[in-house]
Amino acid sequence: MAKMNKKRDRLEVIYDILTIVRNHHNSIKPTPLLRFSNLSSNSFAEYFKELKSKKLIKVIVNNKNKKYISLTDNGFKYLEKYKLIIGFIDEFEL
Amino acid sequence: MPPPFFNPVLFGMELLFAVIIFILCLIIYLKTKESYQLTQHQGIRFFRDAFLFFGISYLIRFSFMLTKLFFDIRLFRGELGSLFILPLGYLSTIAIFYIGLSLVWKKFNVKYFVILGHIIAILLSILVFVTKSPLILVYIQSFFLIMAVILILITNKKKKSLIKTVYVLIFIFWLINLWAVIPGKFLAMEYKILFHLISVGLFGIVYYKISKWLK
Repeated sequence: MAKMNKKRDRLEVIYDILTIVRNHHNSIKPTPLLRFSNLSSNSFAEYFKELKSKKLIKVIVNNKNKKYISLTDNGFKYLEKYKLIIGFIDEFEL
Repeated sequence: MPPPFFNPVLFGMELLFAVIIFILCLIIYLKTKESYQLTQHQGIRFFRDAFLFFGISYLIRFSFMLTKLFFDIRLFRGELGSLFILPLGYLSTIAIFYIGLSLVWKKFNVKYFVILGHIIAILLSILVFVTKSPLILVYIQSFFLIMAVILILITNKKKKSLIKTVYVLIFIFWLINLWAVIPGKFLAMEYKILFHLISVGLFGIVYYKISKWLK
């Protein structure tokens, strides 16, 4: 059962990270994002890589060479559809 | 001159049945596309692929049956029937396998089981192709059904699961529908219509449940 919740947790963690970015006016530096997400740096690095590869977030470098993280259109869509997708996964026991 | 086995009512019914099932499966596949793209969830992947393969299997089943309607039974039993039985055996076995995987993928090494499933499906379709006996496909898939039911009963002692019941019924009616198109096997028209209606209803339930969540 614990294993069964693992993937759900994964989708939930992604949802939480994206929500943090959105709630910070869609622009947050990596270090506060790590802090707010309550993940270990290793886990965070793993999720960060995954979110970038899935094109849910993008990294923007400003003219002072500082990195900011923003949601992509897919990121916003994920937040919008999350509850429905979870409902679908539950209904079909996926 | 029409072929000796041609029955226009049966042809029309089977065509309508295959098209409805295929369209339902295609809609299920397309409706779940965005969810999969956003989450890359393995369960969603197996689920949507299973229904796509099921839809194609029903179309191939129809083509397989056409050879029975339009051609001499000797030719059907020979090369022509074999042409369809190869993809039919492979795709339907993979569809059944993927539905099962969508339920249990978290408990196993998915990569290993996907490869194993494809190997089993390829070997099974080759066996049916070589022996020219579609009945073997029905027997072996029936064995898979029994195994799946046992697995569901073991892992699902307390919780009632409508969707697992629907899956088992889809599986049972697939086997009946497949059996009905095998040369030499006969099913009365009334039963055919009844079984087709039930099959459409089962796929309709899946479609309805998806529509509730994924607009």
